[in-house]
Amino acid sequence: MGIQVKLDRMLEGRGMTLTELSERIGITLANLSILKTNKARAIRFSTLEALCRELGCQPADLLAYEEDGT
Amino acid sequence: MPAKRERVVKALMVVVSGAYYLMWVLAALVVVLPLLHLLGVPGVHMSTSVAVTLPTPAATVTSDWGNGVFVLRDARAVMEIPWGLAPGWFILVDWLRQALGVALLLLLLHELRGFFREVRAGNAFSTGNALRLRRMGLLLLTFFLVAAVLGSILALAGRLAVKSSTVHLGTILGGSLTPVLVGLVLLVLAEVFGHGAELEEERALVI
Repeated sequence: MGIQVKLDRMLEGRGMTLTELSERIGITLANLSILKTNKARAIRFSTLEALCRELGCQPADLLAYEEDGT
Repeated sequence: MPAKRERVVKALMVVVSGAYYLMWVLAALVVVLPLLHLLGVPGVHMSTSVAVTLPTPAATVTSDWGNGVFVLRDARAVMEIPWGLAPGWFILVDWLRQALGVALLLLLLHELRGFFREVRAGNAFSTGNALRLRRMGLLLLTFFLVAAVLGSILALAGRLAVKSSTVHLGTILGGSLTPVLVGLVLLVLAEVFGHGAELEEERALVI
């Protein structure tokens, strides 16, 4: 499984849609979808910073490491 | 794409497209002119050009650059063999050489246009472009083979058909190696672009 991005959980907690988040941080909806569905190969610090700023959270709230099979 | 690069790519695209449409005109001529010749249309005379070597002319060339002489060697000429004299198989081989040559160049220009189209769309490093470069390289290598083999057949046949000549004629076989070199370069570039496409795909998934 590897690194998982808990974006949908954070958005639900803040009552925000992916589209709203996309408009606020200037990243396309398509790219946010790639992030949300864990298809991204890497994340830039600038993106992580923007997400944490808008969602009012820490990187650890967004990222989790899961071993294969869990 | 920066404006300057956009202009350069656009200009190259115009040149390649121009060459592509010109090649279609040449293709039409390759089909139509032999037919007109065979039908005996007045004013249409087809011939095969065969390169031959000539004896070194007895000439002395001096210069303003010193007391030495310039040496004349490797004198060449083009022997025109009228189709009216040539046997049917000879005409067929010559027509095949022209037709295959034009077809291969047409395909090459078609691939090049597709290549530039993707570059203009911002997808220079794509799997499609890598494949196009590979196909262009193979087309050039094939072009060389066709030109060299069929050209050599015509050169040998034309030379052997000579019964008598006021000068000794030598045969020139093979062809220019330029298409081979360019073809090999394109094959190497295809690998580079393939790797570039992988890096681009990787980059696209960095959010």
